[in-house]
Amino acid sequence: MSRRLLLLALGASLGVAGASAGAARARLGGTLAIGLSGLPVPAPGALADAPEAASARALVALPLCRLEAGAVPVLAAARRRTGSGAGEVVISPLAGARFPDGTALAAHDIARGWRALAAAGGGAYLGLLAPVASLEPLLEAAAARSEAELLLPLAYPWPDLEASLCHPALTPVRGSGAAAMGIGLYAQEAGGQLGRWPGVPSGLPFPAAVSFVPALPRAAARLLRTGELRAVLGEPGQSEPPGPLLFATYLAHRPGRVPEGALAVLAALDLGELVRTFVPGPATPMPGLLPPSLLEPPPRPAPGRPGPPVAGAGAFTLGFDAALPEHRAVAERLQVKLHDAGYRVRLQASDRPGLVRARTDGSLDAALVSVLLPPLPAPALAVVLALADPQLLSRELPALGAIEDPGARATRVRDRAVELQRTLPLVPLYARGLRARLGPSLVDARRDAFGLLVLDDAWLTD
Amino acid sequence: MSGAGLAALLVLAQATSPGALGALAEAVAAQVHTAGAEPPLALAVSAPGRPALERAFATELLGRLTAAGLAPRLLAVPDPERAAREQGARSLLRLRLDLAGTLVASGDVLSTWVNFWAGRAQTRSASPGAAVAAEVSADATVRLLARAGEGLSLELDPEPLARWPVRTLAVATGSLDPDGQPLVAVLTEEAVEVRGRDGRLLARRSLDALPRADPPSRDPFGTLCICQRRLLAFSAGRAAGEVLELSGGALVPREALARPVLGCLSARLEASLFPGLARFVPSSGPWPSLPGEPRAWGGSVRAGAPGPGVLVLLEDGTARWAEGTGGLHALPGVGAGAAAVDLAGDGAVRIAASSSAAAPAVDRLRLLAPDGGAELASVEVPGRILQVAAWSSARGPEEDLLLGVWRTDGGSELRLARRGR
Repeated sequence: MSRRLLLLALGASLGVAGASAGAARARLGGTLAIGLSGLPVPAPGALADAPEAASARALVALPLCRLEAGAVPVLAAARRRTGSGAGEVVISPLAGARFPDGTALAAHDIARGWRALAAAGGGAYLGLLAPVASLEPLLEAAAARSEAELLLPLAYPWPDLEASLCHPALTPVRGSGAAAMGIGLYAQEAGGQLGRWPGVPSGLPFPAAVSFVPALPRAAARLLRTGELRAVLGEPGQSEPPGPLLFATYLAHRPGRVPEGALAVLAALDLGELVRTFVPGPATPMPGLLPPSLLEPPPRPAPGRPGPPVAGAGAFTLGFDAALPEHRAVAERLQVKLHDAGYRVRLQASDRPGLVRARTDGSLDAALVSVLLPPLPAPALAVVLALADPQLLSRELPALGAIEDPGARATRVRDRAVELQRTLPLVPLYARGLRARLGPSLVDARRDAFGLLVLDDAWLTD
Repeated sequence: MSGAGLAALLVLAQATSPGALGALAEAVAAQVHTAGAEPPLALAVSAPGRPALERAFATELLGRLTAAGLAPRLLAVPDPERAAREQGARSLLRLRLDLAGTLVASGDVLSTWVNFWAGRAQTRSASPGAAVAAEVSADATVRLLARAGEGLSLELDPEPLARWPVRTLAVATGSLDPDGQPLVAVLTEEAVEVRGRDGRLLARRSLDALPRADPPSRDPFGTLCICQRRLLAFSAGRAAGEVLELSGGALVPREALARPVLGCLSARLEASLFPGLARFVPSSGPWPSLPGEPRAWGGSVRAGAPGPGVLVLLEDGTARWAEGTGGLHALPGVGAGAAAVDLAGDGAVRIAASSSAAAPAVDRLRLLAPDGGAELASVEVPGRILQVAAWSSARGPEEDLLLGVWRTDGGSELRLARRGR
């Protein structure tokens, strides 16, 4: 069963239905109509790491586990074996986990999904698996074989690997593109609707169907009140607690391609003002390399008056993710700020894979990139390092993983994050959380430790 | 009293045998007969705050009115005159019982015959009504019955008896060893446990050996009962259940259980689960007859005295209490946990039930009259009450209540509620 001690006891406070008619046991039936404000309809095959997209995608493609007080198995269980060296983690698909074509989840599905991650623009999340010895050849071999379990031998001790496997980017998917399948609470039925799928080991969800509906911001409140929508994703809630803010946005630049003066302007930016004006909540300025919940913000120079404009000091191209509405607003704001300081910035919108490609092939000098960080400091740093410079992973992680005590490890991670911030080609900007608004008739929705909306056990009071 | 021009009559009846209640019923029946009431006669009795006394007097009076050929029927509705007319009764007897040193029954009897030619006009029959009043000295039975429904309150023990990081599925009480020691058995998502009066763990058997249900129920759900010193456990997350025996401090499997069993009367009351859902339908055994296709989300069987019966909790938030004597009562506003209990130890069985609120952070344990569901007492319980079981108290004939409560953090606990002092 999926209910365990929750790290964040937010379930009860999210969408509690008060004393409305219903019953003490979950009511069966109804359609879970979810409004999508500025979001595409979730597809199993697409990388979905923004909190709203990841929350919606879980309805059609569940992650391997849910991170709550610990890793709660959803599709697979991970167990640690002390073998030779640093030990190994064995991932075993749970009995009953089946894709919509009826075939059982296998180890090779997991390996193939992870191999496709880089092409989908989620290469930074391979940082979560960096402690696995010879990851590339191992996944290649596992993807080709049909074995019951996926064995991950560790190159060095890494106590947080099991928790990292619950990251939504590591969701198992079979196939690619439009034909991609995940194992979701709901699957496409003959008539095109999304009906309950019995191939989930924790059992059938309570609502009979789910539907995704484009939602206009002004209509959302009314539709939630009338029960036409049960939740709206992509719009900040008013009463719900914000939950963890772990979707972190950086300006990543290619060393030597952005003028030093421009970087100095960015480093002195008033992040508080940027977040208040251009990033819809829940969001917080991120002066350090990791979000404030993971890293006490280090001292940062107070925003001073911009220096005198330097005519023709330099121009560079800044890419951003067209799928994230706040990216455009922030990019334009940075463009204005840099223009005032005498730097000309060309903006270039693209989709996620295109953005990563352009960063890699050098056609972009800088880019706004957002990643969903795990709520644990060491894996979070691994993702940030993979984003900045994957070569740093093997240099930094072994010493961190060797610290057994979680508290001491977190302290060391924080120290390293502060030291590395000076050298990494990343300017941290802000971190944000899930934008969701829940209707009064949706009960037992909760948040996991990533801050995602978990609707696995949710039900409708009418 | 109502109705100008009605003749008043006061009869003082001295109670000897057959008891004060019988004498009062006798006196009232005589007055009704004298007033010329015509059958069928509708009867409405109220005794505010004294449900047991009300029930007992109604029973006595119904017997005497039947003997007098008045074909009485009992009404328990707020507007008895209207109900009597709608049901085609020709006369109505309305009575109120008061106990203040003596027991007084007072009220009136009137004709409820509807003149067809009056159309929609609200008219009363031309035949005269009469006031009815009688008084007897209260005897021991009357005082006991009056006390039975009076001043009942519920009290929750401040500390839970046990806690789990997972959900409880079912709670049962009874004896599992030859010395008859009362024990509590709890089915959780992971195991069957037997605990003592202080909540101490005596034996545990993991569910791991049982095959998983495909699909399992997402809602933690199961049945657990004790029949002939054996524990019958069935989790909706598993494809089969087990019959367990407490032997040498361990729960030893004796038999596989193909279906959930709610309890035992003359035979096992077996149920069928809806695949993947926390709902069942009665399948075989001495189940009461329930109309339609009942989808139940809970139930409990009371095998012993007083008041054996079967309680079925339906997913619409109502319950059916089928007494061993054959009566079937509908109770509204009942959640997923309820049980019949003799809370006061006075031989009167009442229903203790969780509330039907959707997902309360603080639930209410309610004590209901078994006929009609009038609330007699309640107490707040943090969390959601999903299971309720009656438990013989260490203090005497009173019974306590064991509650399986789901906490908001995903875990659960076993709590004890008892009659308040």
